[in-house]
Amino acid sequence: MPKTRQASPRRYPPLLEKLIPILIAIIVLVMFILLGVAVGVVLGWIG
Amino acid sequence: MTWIGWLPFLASLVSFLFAIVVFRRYVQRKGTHLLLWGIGLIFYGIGGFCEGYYSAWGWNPWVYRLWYLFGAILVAAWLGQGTVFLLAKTKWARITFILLLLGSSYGAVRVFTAQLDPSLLTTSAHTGSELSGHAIVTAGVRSLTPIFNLYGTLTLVGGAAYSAWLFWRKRILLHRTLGNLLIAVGAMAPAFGGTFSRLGIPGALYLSELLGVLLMFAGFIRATTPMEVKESAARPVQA
Repeated sequence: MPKTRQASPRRYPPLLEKLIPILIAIIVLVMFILLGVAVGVVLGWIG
Repeated sequence: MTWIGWLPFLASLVSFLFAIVVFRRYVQRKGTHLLLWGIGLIFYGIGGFCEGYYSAWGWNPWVYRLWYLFGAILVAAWLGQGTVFLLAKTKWARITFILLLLGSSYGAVRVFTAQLDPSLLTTSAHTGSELSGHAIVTAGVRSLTPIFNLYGTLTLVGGAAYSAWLFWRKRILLHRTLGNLLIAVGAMAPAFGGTFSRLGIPGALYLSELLGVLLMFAGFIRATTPMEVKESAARPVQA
């Protein structure tokens, strides 16, 4: 009995596979820093 | 006028062109998110034009008020609201939009009734060649800006990052992953420009605004233009 073929796992190109999650993490981190600065300004801690 | 003075005109031109592209897509495909992005980009363009006006022809109180309302207060929030309509449930998108409309109306009244002092523009907090909120004397007006920008950053940058993560997680639609990354970076660029401007680097704010809109434009084009990706497949099981 022939074995069934496995479905191909989806992949991005290898470099992007590694780079994209790092970029997303950096963007989120910087975003929270900017949000922190904005909160600081609103509360009068900064500026 | 120095080269710095041309940057906001250029940013304004790119913003308006970008808005035309977005509105065309809205006419073809509908989608409230496209409409609000288009409006936000017009605000971006108005802000840039006012900055260029200041560089070219100097102080004008009404140009200043337009710059502060559209460029400093509203632009990020309205762009972000477009993303809210794209990602959130319609009910919440409408509720937040009503709040944004009310807040924007309030902000407009406050800005256009605020007392101004142009001599305060050349404080130590910025280079002096660029517009800043320091000319507003009336208390409470400038405190509106971080509130709107907080909302705009969370929705626009956060929304783009979230979208990029969703597509990456499923390993689908690479063009949208990349497009959203460009949009997120572009949306944050003006914030860094403002910081560098406060450190005394002339032109930093205007350069970052131009870079920001270019990146967002590139991101939008990338996200709406499918690309072929060669999938690397698992080895087939031998019969």
